Amino acid sequence: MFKQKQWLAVIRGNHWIVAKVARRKFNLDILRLSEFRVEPESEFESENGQEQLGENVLAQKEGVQEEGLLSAGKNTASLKEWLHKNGVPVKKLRIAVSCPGVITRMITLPLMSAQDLDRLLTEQVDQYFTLNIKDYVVDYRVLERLIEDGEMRQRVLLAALPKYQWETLWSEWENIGFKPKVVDLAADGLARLYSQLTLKGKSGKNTAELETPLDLAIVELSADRVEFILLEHGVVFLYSDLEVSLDELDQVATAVNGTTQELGDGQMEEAEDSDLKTERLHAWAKAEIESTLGNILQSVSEFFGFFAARHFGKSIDRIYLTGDYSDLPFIQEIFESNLEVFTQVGFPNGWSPSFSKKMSNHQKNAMKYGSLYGLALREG
Amino acid sequence: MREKKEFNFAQHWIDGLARESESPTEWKKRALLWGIGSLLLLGVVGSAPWLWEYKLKRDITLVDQQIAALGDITIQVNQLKALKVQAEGQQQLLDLMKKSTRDPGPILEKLKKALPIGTVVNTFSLQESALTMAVSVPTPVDVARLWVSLLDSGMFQEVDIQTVSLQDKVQTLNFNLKLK
Repeated sequence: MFKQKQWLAVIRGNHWIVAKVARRKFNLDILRLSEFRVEPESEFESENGQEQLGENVLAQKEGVQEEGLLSAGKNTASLKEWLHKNGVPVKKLRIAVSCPGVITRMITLPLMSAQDLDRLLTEQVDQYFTLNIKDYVVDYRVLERLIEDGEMRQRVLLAALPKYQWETLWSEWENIGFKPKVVDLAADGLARLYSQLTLKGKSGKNTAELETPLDLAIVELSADRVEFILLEHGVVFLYSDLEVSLDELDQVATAVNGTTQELGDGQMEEAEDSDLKTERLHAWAKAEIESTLGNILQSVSEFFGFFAARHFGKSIDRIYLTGDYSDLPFIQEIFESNLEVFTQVGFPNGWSPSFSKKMSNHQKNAMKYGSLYGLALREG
Repeated sequence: MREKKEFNFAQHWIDGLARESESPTEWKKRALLWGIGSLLLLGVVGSAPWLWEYKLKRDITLVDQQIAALGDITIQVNQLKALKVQAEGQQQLLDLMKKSTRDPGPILEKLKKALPIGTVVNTFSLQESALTMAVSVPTPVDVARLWVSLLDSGMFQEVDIQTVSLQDKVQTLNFNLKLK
């Protein structure tokens, strides 16, 4: 059967994930996948520049700004080169972005024609926000139709992207040499993916798993930000994000993974000593990870409280973890023990995309690219 | 327009830019431009008769200038016409004079050549174009020669001899001839 092929990009700051995928319904083939990150040298340069702020603050700040501009130009040039080298047809790219400061609002409106709704949410959208909406780029999508007080209504999700963030992204794309036709929110892609996969699970007749719960929490863990999405019966209920710094756990993860490797290769006589060391190391790693994830767990707990308050005490049924740091050791255990909610790394109903032979090395990291799969499932 | 089921910030941004380009200030600018353009067009159309009149006047002036440049020739032409009229008058007068006053000298000179040897002109009278003469010829043959010579001279309208004697003696012939 014919499979629709598309080029996708998930952009999270200076981290680009670009993939060529083929899709038929829920069958997703990852034909190509590559990632681009800004070289750490330039990042460090920028940070050092900021640390050196001293007495001559103004002069230093100007220096940093200039350096920042130079660094941005350099990044764009290297990104452009990378895209070119990888043969990415930039004009065909469908993009999902994730940036800090995104605000969402859920509103319920009476049914009206698509034109009227568009006019309302374009010309008078400021009434739904308390902030100065001119500083944001606001888009909307209809989530569902519902009957409220005997009348048909529609639930609409508004998302406001900070304008300066958007303009930075847009000018970078223009500098690279394209104007994308589709730009989605990475978080909304996640909502789409998990919502559709759980609905698929419910409607499937031969599924061996138990009926999948529909009140879900999705936590996408990236190096510098964590995004939270709560789904109520497959429909977005809440979106939020939190600035974090998970890259400090890289060494912990490396250490834990290293001992696991050594254990596999180790000799029988040394096994007992190793067990003890490993146990200690794991306890240490667990404590480290738990403390680093403290803020995240706290936020998730608060969101769960909010959800329960709005649903007569009904709590979230399941947590799904995805993103770059969803493969942290003990993460599932840590979430479950702290939040007392069943947690799973990856996707509902054992769903996973298939990677082409060339991309098979990415298969072990398949759970990290939830936003990408969500973008691939987008219709239109 | 279909129900919007997905976010698309790119489309939203492009639409927003398009709307901005049609914002009230932009619209006012366009309206002003159109207004000025329309007024100019109206001015041009409205002033068309005056423009046409101006053009005609200019053309007339040009033609007048050309005519003025050709004034000398006109004077010459007029002079020529006057001279022609004058010449015609003079010609008519000459003709009249010619008709009214015939000089017998040249006619006699011509007649002299036409008359056969031995011919005697007895009388010769010329009044306007009527020539009357009496001629004596020695022989009847000379009568015939005379008659032929007078005919051949081409000076007279017709030559008629009323009576001819065939006797071999001198005879006098009276001619009433009309000069051509």
